Amino acid sequence: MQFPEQITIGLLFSLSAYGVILGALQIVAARHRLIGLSLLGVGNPFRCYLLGATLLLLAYGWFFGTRGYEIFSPGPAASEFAFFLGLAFLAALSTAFLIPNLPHRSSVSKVCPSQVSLEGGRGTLYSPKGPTLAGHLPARPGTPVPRAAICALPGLGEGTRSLEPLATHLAKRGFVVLVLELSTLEYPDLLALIPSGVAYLAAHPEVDPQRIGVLGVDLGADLAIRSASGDEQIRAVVALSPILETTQPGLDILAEMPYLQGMRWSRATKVLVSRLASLEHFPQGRPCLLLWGGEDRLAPQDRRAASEGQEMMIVEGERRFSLPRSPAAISLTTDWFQEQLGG
Amino acid sequence: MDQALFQLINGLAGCVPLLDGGMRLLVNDYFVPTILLLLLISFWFEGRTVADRELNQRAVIRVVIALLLANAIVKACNLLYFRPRPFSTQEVHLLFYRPSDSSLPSNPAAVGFTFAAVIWQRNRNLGAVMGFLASLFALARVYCGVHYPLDVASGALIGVFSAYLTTRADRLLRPLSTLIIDLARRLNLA
Repeated sequence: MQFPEQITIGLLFSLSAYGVILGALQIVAARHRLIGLSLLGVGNPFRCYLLGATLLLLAYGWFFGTRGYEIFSPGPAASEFAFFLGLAFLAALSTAFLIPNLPHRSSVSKVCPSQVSLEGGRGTLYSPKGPTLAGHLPARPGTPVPRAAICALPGLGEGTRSLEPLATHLAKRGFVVLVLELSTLEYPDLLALIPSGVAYLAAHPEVDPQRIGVLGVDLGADLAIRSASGDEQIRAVVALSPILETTQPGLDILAEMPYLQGMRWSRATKVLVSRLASLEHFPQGRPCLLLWGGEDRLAPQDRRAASEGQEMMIVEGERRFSLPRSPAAISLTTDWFQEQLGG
Repeated sequence: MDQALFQLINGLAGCVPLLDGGMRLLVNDYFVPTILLLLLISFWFEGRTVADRELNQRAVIRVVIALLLANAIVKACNLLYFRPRPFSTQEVHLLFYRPSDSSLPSNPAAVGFTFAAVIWQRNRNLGAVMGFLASLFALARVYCGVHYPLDVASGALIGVFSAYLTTRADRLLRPLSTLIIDLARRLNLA
């Protein structure tokens, strides 16, 4: 076999190894429920296993079924072999990391909440009797006005839409809900987000300014805790999956989000969590509920110690960013706010 | 005895076409090494806790170092001693191409057993699976007429020896593996 032929077989082997490694990574993703490595998501691990096995078999089948002559001729030397294998490994890993980052179509919402502009940010308002929800979520007859209100912040990298099920449910139960955009990650600028939302709600004609609570997810939860500590107008706090401690999440982040989002998340939280220092800023004398998903791999190692003195609950089977959409967490949060602020 | 054992194993070649097909699949440079690599990649992600996973990842790094060491030992042996391949000196049932390097020690056997011996120290089940694959790989080399049994046995010994040395030198290698894991963790890869 001539030199170019050895390169050819090396490249063909690389192509086959690419498929084989990508297949193996899909099986790994299904086994460890790694969203950031799975081409099909991990909602249905069986599909992921099936894809992995198919890729493996197809790639092996193609190479060994069609390249008989080259396989049984002198091939690349050990170092060249390692190079081609390394090339395939890098390409397969890049594919598995990048594809889950592609934007996917989100479901079409049945409600059309109104967009509001605030000082230094934007938000989405869910009101029990606002015109935007008319026809979908009629106000319950006899609901007293003014109402209790919630100012909410989504997680880092998650849009305001991620809080739509929770906000809609709260609105159905009579709360006015303002979901803010996490529009800045600059410290201390982001400290102004919740106060601007709370000020907006307090001035809203439908809202009772004495019954305002805040809710946050992930970094938004840390920010909610920190903001509540300095704002007496905030009467209750629900923190869904707060970060609380700076950690080096490593591979665990792939269980929660796609790779690129994970890189941004770890870079941003590394600085912001220590600056927010929410662990040292739990609001004194006001109720605070901390909620984590049982499958959240980014939660503090010792959640009980981290949440000392606060109410804490764990919703089994939920992850960091699936928690706000989980019916159990939605129900717990709504009931708790109803208890603390009244409906 | 080496010769007699070679005749016994290689003598089976050409008798059962299905067995020949299986051995031809196992003997080539691509099939078994790729499976071993896949198992190694999977092992990097294994572990119930972060600490458990880190131990597995250290084992994966040790495999890579041990492979480099095993290859260096094989190269050194090749420089010191050349043993002709079985097909060069006698009539054999050859089911593979004619490699031109020294028959002793067998590099494929060294590679396979390096994987198995390092992983065996961390995970008995996976180590056993890798050991089984390495044994099949070695057997196929003799069956297809490209190695004597002594070649693959010495290759296996080199693999086990490299694994042993790498484990013994763990304290020395620890800063390197810590550096690699720290770097990988920063990139969310470990």
